[in-house]
Amino acid sequence: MALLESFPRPRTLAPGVDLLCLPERRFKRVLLHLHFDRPLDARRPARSLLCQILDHGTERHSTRQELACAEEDLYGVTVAQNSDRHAGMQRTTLRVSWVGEEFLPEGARVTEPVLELARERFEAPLRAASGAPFPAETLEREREQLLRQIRTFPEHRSAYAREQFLQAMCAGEPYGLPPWGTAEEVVALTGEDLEAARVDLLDHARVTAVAVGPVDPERLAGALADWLGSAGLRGGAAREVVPLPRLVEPGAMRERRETQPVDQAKFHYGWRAPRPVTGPQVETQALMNDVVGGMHGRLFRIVREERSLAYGIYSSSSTFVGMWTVAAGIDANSFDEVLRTVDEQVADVAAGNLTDAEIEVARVGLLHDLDSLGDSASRLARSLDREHLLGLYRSPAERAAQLRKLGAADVAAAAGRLRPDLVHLVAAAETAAIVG
Amino acid sequence: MSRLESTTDSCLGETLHRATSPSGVEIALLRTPGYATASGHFGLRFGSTDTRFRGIDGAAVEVPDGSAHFLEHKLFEGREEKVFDRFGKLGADFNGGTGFFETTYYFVSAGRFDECLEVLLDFVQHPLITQERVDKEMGIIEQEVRMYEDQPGFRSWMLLHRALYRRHPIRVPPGGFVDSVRATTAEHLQKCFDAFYRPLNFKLALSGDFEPEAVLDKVEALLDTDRPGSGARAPVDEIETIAAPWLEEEFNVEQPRVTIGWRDRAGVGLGAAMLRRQQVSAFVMDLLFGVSSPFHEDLYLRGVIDDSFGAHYTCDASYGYAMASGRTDDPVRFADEVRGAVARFLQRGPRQDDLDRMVRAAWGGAVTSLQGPSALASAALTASLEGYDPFAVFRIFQTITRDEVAERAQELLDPGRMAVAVLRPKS
Repeated sequence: MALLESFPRPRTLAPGVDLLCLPERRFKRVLLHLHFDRPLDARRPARSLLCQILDHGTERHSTRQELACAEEDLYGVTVAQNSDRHAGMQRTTLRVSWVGEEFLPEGARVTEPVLELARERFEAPLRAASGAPFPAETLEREREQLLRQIRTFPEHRSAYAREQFLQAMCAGEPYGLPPWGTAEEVVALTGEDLEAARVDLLDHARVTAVAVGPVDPERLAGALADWLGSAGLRGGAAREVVPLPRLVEPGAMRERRETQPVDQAKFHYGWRAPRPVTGPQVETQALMNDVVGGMHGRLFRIVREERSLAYGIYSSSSTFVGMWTVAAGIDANSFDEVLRTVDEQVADVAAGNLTDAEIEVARVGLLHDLDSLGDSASRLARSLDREHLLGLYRSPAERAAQLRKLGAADVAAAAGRLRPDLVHLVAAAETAAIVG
Repeated sequence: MSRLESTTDSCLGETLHRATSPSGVEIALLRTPGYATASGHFGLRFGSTDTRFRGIDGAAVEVPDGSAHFLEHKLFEGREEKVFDRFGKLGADFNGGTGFFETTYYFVSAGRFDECLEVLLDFVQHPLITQERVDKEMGIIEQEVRMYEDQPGFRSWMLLHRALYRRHPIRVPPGGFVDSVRATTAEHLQKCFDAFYRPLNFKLALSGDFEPEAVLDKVEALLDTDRPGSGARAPVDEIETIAAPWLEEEFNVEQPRVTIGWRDRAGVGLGAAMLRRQQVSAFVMDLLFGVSSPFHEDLYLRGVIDDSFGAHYTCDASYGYAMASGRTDDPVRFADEVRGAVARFLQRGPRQDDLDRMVRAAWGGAVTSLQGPSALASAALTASLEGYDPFAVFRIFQTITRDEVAERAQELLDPGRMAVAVLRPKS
C-alpha cells in the first residue's frame, strides 16, 4: 500500500505551525487533530477549565445547545477539546471530525463550515455582558463541575490508580503534576486566568495539525492558514517549542501503598528508561516492551496464563519521558508474587535468556500493527504526530525495516537499561494491611 | 450459478454477499478494496442469560450464572495449542465477547487472512474442555468479574436491571458472580457447547479485499458438516410490571449515581421491526435528552445535571428500556426534574426541524460506524444475529416520521413503568 511506503511532507503554515495531511479516500470520515503544546506549568488548571468553558457558547452560537445544533446540522460533525499530559508536555487538542463530502447528499459542503465552527470556539468564545472574559455563571458552574470531577476521580479505579502512581513516581517533576490541577488551584482561578491561558495557547503554543481522511489538502491548508498561518489571524504569534523533560536517574527502589475502598487491587510498577533518539532505538524499545509485557509477552504468559494471578498484565513505554510501566489488576494478596515475577522476568530478559520464538512473536505483532496502520484513520493520525514529535518522519515501511533488523542482543540491552523506581499498590484497607 | 446472493447499498455503495452453508451457517461477505486488513467475526445467539435450556436430547439443563462467558474463555484455550499462541504467531488482533444473548469471536489480520480464518473456525467449533482447564481459568475470570463489580457505572446499570425486572436473567451480570464462577464445572460448559455451538446457530461475517466466491469455498471447507439441530433456550418468564420504582444500594462512590429506566412494552422480536424500534427510540431519547435539546439545556443550566449525564435506549427480543443517568447530590430532585422534563416533552411532542437535524446527525454517525473491514464485518455479524440488513438503518432514516417518534415517545416513556436506581456512597 503506497501510503505505508511514504511519509506526508509536513507543511509549515507559520513558524511553529505544521500541518501533516494524509488525504485518504477509502475513509468515510475526516479526522483533524489540532494540538497546542505548552509546558506542564502553572497554567495547567486554567487550560483544563478553559476547555470546559469553550463548550458553552461562542459569539455566533451563544449556548452549548446552539453549538450542538450547528454540529448536528452538518451531518453530525464533532468538535471537542481537552487538555492532558502528552510527551512530557501539556497538550490541548481540538478534535474535529466530519463525514467526507462524497458520502453526503449531492452538493453538500461541510469542510469550511466545520473548520469555522472549530475556530470560533477558540477565537470567539462567548463573552460576559459585563465585559468580563467569560460569563460569571458559566465560569462558576464549570468550576464546580471540574471540582466534582476531581472529587469523584477515585471512582475511576484504574485511571485514579495510574494517576496516583504517576504523581508519586514523578513527584517534583512537571510530569508528576495533575494536568487538571488540584482543587485549591481550580478554586483560585479567575476569568482573567482563563483568558490569559487562551491567548497563551493561541499565541505561544507550538501547533501540530494532523488530518487523515477524505479531505482536499489544499482546502484544508487554506482554511488553517487563514487562522494560524503566517498571513492569518494569528500570523504574528511567537511560538515556543516545549523542551523534553529532564531524565531522572532513580535512587533506591520505592514502594507506595494506598488504601482505597476497592475490590480489585491496582498494581503499577514504574521503571526509568533512556529516551530513544534514533529510529532503531525507538523500535528496540517497542520490541522489548512487547517481549516482556505485550499481549503475548512473558508477564501475560506467566502471571495470567500460568499462575492465574490477573485478568490482564501489560507494560507500556512512555518514549518521551523515559519511563516504562507495568500495570495489572490483581488480588492484593498476590502483590509480592507479581512484583517478584516482574523483577525476575526483566532480569532474565536483560541477561539474554530469550528464545527466538518469543522475539519473533513480538516482532510479528508489531509488524502487523504497522501493516494494518493504513486501515485506521485514528491510528494513522497518532503515528504521523508521533513521528513529527520524534523528528524522524519514517514511513511505516521504514519502521518495519528497522524492526526486522533487531535481535535478542538488542532486546536484552534495552531491558538491561531499565532501572526500577517505584511500585505502587492501591488496595482495600484490609488487604493493604496484609501486604503491608 | 453463484451460490452468493448479492445486494448493494445505495447510500454507501457497499455490496453485501450472503450464503448459507450446507450445514446451516449463515455467511456474510463484504469486499473492501484497497484495505490491507481483513477481518472475520463469528458468533451465535447464546449468551449469559441462557442458563436454563433444553439440550440437544431434549433434557432440561441448568448451569451457573456466567457459564457462557466462562465457555468463551475456555474456547481460547484451544485443543493442542492455545489460541493466543496461534493468533500470536500470525500477528493478528483477536478477541471474544459475551453479551446477554450473544457470544462473538473475531480476528483482524494484515496478510494472513486464510490462516486466521482457519484458526477462528477451528477453535470455536472444536474445543477441549477439561476440569483441569476449567479450574485453572477460575482465578482469571474471578479477577475479571471483580474488575467489573468494582466499577460504579456497571453497578448502577445492574441495579437498574434489578429495579426494572423481577425475573428476567438480565438481572445477572454477563460474567456472573465470583461464587457462580467458582461453581462452574467442565460438565456445565460442555453441556452449553453441545446445545448451542452448532452450525444452525452460527453466523459468520468476513470482510477484506478478497474474492467472495473463493473465500466462500474456503469457509465451506472449514465448517463442520454434521451436528444438526440445536438446544432450546427457556422462555423468559417475566412479569409485566417493574420490580421496584426506587431501588438503592450502597457502594464505594464519592457522589450518588442515579439511573432512571423506563421499561418498554414486550419486545417486537428480532429482525427489522426490532431495528426500527431501536432507532426510533434512540431518536426519542436524543430529542429529549441530547445536548441539543432544550430540556437538556434547561436541566444543565439549573445545575440538575452535569456532564456525567447521558441517555440511551437498548433492547433485544425479550426486553427493552430507555435509560437516563448521571451523578447528583440530590437523587430525589434529580428524578423529579427528569420526570418533569419527560412530561413537558410528551406534552409538547417532537418538532419536525429537530427531528430532521437529528436524522442528519445520525446519518453521519452511521456512515462512520461502517468504516473499514473490521467495523463492516462486526456490523454484518450483529445484523445477521439479530435478523436484519446491516445497511437497513439508512432506509429507516429516510422514512422515519415525526408522528412515529411522537407515538413511540408516548408508549416508551410511561411514568407507570419508570424505575429509579440509586447508588449511594457508603454511610
